[in-house]
Amino acid sequence: MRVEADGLGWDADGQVILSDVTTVLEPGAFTAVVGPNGSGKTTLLHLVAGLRRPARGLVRLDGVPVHALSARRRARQVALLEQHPDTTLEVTVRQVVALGRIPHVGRWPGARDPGAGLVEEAMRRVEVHHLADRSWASLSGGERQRTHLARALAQEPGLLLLDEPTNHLDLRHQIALLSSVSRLGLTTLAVLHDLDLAAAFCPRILVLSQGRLVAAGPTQGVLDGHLVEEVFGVRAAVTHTDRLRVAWSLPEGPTP
Amino acid sequence: MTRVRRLRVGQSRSAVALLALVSLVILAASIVIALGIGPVRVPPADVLTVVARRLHLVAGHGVSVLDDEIVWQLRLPRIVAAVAVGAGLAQCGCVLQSLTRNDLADPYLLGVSSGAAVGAVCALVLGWALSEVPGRYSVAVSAFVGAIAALAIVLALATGRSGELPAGRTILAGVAVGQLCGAFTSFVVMVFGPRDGARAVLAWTLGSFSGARSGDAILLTVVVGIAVVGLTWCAPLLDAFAFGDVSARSLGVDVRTVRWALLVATALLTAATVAVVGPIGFVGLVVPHVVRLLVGPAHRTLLPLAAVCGGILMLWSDTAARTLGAGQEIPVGVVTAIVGTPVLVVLLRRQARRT
Repeated sequence: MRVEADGLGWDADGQVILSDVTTVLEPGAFTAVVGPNGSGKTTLLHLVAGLRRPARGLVRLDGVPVHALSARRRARQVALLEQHPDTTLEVTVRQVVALGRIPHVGRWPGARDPGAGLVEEAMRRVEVHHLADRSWASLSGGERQRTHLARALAQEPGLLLLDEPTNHLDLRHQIALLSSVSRLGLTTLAVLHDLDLAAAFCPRILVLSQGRLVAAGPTQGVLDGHLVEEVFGVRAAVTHTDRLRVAWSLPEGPTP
Repeated sequence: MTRVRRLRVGQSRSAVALLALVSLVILAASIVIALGIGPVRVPPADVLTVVARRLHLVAGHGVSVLDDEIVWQLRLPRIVAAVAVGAGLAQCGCVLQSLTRNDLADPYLLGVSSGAAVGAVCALVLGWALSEVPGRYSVAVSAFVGAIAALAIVLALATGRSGELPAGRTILAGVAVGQLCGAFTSFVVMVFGPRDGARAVLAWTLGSFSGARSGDAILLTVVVGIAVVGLTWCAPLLDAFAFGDVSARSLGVDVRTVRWALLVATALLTAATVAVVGPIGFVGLVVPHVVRLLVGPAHRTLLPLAAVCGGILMLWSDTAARTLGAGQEIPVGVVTAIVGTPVLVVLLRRQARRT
């Protein structure tokens, strides 16, 4: 799916949260959104997902404005993995993944879902099928994120949106989750905090600062030491040895 | 490796069908047995003959006129009303617990019962009544008006600028309106009430099916029947709320519209039951939890099964209420509380052990 953001803007309580974001996500591209806290990353994700109506500008999915779609049709095209989705209900992994079929199934009781097999397939693709009958409460953080990734896949989306998917995961699970995502080959937009992970997995990058898009394009080329220092106020070196790496260094002199 | 330890009936259609069948058989058997219980005992065989004759299934002459009157005219409307109200309250409890993601949500969450109490007090104590309404219905009508007024205030307080109804604010608004209505009710009873006024109001707030006539029973059955079908139709929408509002929206649910529609629909259904039989606690709170433990949280199974179980619980509570006390009815709200509290305690302890 080709995604275009055209002059996107959003305000909250009279404050400009996001302003004039114009960019294109090419079909199949895995793009990272990085930026300091409060730079508007989650807002951008929600605007692209159609969960909020932009104050300015618009989002097009394959040329169709996202707000021209009904909520149900939109959910068949865009899947969102939010930060820490949680529930107190006693649901199993399979039931959580099956939630992804809701936008596709007819409302009439007894309506059969022709894509019901996709639930099992989605669990296999992100390797949670062996957990299918486990309860949500018994899962580790990494298993929960993979379960929700499988739920998102069961939605059969053309666009996958991930909001800090690696938060609270250990290094091994961070790498495992992003590897699974990049193997999917879906158009993906992921908010990431770890610049090194973004550099390793995402061929393209959007850099936000104070609600503005300050850089966009291929990660190798866009992301460099100057940009990191300017946006994050941290000295860093971006190198390309076996892969693109971001190494930061401690500030010199007394720490502020 | 902890698997979910419960009947995994949510997985297989045949197991769900079996459970539905068993619960319906229990409900039917309960109705037949309860029809025979009372000051005059009627054996189940005679009960069945009366019902079959009245439904023109048999041309039986083998029943006495007395049995026919007791079973068909005296007990059946009350029993049908109890089943309908129990089913309706259990449904509303399921829906509200899902929409607010709050385990303690019950059908009276939105101030409906306390608003209805204000209306009932106005009719019972102050004697305000709409002149066009026949006397027997004056309390019911003013209770319904009070319930709707309270609901309107709660919704007005909770609604945000863009029309959204966040769960937390809705619950708080319900609590606030409930407290205010409670204060008004107490004040009126203390200041204006004759000595037996307080008793009448207390009896009303504990609920009773003794006034239920055949018209009430038919009305409640139709309303609850429509609600069961309608809400079960909405089951996938309710499932989508499992992980909260953002998740529901990303699954294609128009959260604002769905929440408004379902909150208002359940409140109207609850108001209808409160107007006829008063507020009856615990059924709408406990039954959804118990049924969820049995079949899991999927609403397509949960809602119809909760309706049947709520009906069974309310039927036996009312049967106990009208037969256990010698010469005097026990308020049905007392019976449901006595049954419901231990169940709730067990559930809470179970949850405490798990976390």
